[in-house]
Amino acid sequence: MSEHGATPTPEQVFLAQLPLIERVARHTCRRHHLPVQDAEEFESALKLKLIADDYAVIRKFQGRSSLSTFLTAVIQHFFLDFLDHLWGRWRPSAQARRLGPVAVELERMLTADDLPLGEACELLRTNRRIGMSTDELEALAALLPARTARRFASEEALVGLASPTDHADDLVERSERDRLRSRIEAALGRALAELSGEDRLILRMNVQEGQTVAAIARALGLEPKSLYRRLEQVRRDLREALLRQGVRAGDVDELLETPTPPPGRPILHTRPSNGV
Amino acid sequence: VPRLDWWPDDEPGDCPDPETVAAFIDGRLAAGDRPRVAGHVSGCPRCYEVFSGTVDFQEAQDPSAVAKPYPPWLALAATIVLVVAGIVLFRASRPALPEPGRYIASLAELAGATDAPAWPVVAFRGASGEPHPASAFEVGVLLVDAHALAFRGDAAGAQPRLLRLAALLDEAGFLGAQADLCREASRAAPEAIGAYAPRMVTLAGDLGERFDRRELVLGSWAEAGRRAAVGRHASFFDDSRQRAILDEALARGRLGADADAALADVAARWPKDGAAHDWPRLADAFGALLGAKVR
Repeated sequence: MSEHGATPTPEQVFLAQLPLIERVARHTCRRHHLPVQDAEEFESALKLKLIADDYAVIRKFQGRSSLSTFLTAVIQHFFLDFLDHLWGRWRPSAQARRLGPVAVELERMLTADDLPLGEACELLRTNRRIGMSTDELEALAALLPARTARRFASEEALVGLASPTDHADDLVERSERDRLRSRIEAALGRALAELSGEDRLILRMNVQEGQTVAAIARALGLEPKSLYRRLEQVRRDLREALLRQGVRAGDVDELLETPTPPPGRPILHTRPSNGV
Repeated sequence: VPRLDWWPDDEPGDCPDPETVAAFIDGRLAAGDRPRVAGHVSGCPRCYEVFSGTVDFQEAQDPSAVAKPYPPWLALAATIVLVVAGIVLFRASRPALPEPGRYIASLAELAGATDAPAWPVVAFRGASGEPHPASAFEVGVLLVDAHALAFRGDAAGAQPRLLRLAALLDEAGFLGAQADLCREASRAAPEAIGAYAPRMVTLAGDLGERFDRRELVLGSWAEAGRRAAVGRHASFFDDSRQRAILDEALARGRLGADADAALADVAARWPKDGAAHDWPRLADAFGALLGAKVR
């Protein structure tokens, strides 16, 4: 018979798991470059959420996964809710996350707050005391995906709104670019739909998150050597599917490039402007 | 040209609950559910964030901590190798059991024997709400028993242990999936039971997260020790990790009068330099510990 004869209450389970809960919370906040103040607020809100309704979350656990993985996944859910509360539906791009907290903040100002670049740089330098020059911040902004915030305005306001550019050539170029983007996005959506769910997940982890083959293999319980071959095959299949749909070979190759730009090289990133 | 730095999310709706995503990451989803969940996670922005955030945390803690379910072909190949190896070992040498030091080391490591925190025993209450007389110690004993018997293809011998294990896990609450695994194994034919041996080790690791780890480890260690003494496997007693479990239990004490005495007896008879002169009495000492703890 165990010396600990008593059944643990949900509270005891919560207390026993508290070190893990705190580690996950801090790691998740760091991963999303949340400022310290917001991170502290999240940790407090998380604990309240976990003990709410007599530890309803813990009581719901059915044992279909390990307790630690379950709690980690639950905390990710809460974190997304917290971000909704903090930022609305805006999320930093994967590229901004890779580039660091200044890039995330800059991207938020440019897309969620819709500030002009000059004003965003000035705010970062003065209010946030970021020790980077305007040139450096502008170079950083050039590395971010080009995203537009979804804005709502009255018709009267739109009538009075000046065109962002007076150059007809710029307008034509932008229109061409948008058309190309829409066409490739549609082709990509169809090509991805031809892959299996797991292949799509592998591809997304690799090209969007920049995860290594070894890390993906560990996460999905796959054998690294065969995963490497499988990933190559998936890329080939996707490439062929895109080519079949009339996307130019050069565009396909650029699309499937590994998403780590060399420092200082501005790359045009586009992303569907769905506000997510 | 848009790079694949973004993803054409399709917001499919009908999102799996966090435990399903967690089970997917742990490699514990039923084979039929895995493609559906993978497909959903790959296209749903929210579920993908939950998935990638969870994996990212596990990677940061310890890359080897991320679950590593084996692909079906590897599991099949491993099963064949284990079963064949088991048969060869069984026929080629006496004693027939696999080297206990190997599996107890796995069990002890998986159950976190080295830095066991004070951990409450998981809910061991029957339907009436009264504490169940079983303990994590007995679960540990049964895991080793079931593992050893499954390893050597003894389905008939493994069956009662597996059913007892299933009953204990049922009592524990929220361990239904683990209990089902034991019941499934209890129905396995002799030629198929070997495949459940590695799953018992995985199960031990899983339960180690939710049980009193010390009790679980002590139970599996005591049964493995008894088997090692019966089989005169000196290497088990040369393994410093096995001695460490004994020392930790001695230092902790308070296992109950009979169990404390049995443990002291085990310590007194612990082979030095792999040379025990009285293996039967060492086996008896382990047996007394098992008898004192499992009622």
